[in-house]
Amino acid sequence: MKNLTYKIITPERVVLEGEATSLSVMTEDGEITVLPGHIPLASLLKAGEMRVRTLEGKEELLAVSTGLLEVKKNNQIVILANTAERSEELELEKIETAKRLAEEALKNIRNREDVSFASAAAHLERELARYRVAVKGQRRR
Amino acid sequence: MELVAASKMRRATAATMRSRPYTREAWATIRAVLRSAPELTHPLLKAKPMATKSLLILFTSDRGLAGGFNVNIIRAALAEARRQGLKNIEVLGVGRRGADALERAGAKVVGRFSALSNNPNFTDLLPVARMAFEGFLKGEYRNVTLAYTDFISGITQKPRLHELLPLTPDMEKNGGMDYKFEPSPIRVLDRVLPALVETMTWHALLESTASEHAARMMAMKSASDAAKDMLDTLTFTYNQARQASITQEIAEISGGKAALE
Repeated sequence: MKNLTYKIITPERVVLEGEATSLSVMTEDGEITVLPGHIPLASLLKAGEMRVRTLEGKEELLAVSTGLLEVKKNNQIVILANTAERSEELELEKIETAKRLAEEALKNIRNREDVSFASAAAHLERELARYRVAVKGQRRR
Repeated sequence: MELVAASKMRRATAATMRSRPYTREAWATIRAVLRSAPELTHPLLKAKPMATKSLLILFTSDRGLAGGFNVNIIRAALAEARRQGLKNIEVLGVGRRGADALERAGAKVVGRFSALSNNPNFTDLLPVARMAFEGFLKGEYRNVTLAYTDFISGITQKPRLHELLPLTPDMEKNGGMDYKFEPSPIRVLDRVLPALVETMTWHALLESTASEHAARMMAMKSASDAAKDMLDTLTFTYNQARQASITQEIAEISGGKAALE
């Protein structure tokens, strides 16, 4: 069977590209795994972890924020994310701080405006995802 | 200074290249959505004929010593502002120079961002893009224009005005096939369009930054060359004067000796 060709792109750079046998991401409708031969699809991504199984059988772990998953024909996958980081790039300490700040912000503004609550909640969710990926990546090393 | 500017220029051009794939893919997605659902429209794709004002996002540097860089882009922006009428223009200045100049000319400056060009960072730029599309969505602005300097090469940079909003997809290009959109085509547009606006603004900043440092590099080079020329002339004049005074002293000494004999 043919392999998947994938590209993970953020506005700043192409984070990762290559070939894979499968790719799992969190979409708004739940987690999906894309295998070769998938029908063309465009789906919204939720902040969360993403796993790419490369040809060598290695698993790449990434934290992505909101974005878009695109499955094109010929097994091409494009992921447009606002931010994406590989587990190696994540520094635990930095994230811990960010997570704490996000949690504090959440506590402070609960019961206030819905809009800012939603944005703080999204922020927290993103930081938690980055955290989980960093922890997993470290354990594996 | 010349070398510092050269390395900053290289960094900015590399960043420009890195951000191109995103723009390309985002446009391809938008074309795909619009092809599969031609009846679909989105507020960011439609002009706002009711609004009277336009927003101009002007990219300049904070500091001078960059040759004609600021002058050229400000001149282009002012010409555009005068064409539309200064009263109808609101300016968002990225970099101090541009905002100052447009304010002096009588345009209303609604926002100032500075110190972005030294070490451009995507997240620092997000508020700029946000101000632009929120104002546009609220119907305050008829359109939003980016005024920046396009980096063509280390020697050539051109001021450019580019309409950011409403976004106009180039449907001639191919791309797009039968996709399944989850949860729905309009939600996909909702997600991709604002991201594209941010990325296009980011692009303008990078182009402008590369141009600024290229212009500064040239300005510093010609300043060094001019200083070297001046040094040569001064050394020559100094040597001449010294030689003249030595000759005169010898003449005086030998004149005095001759008078004694």
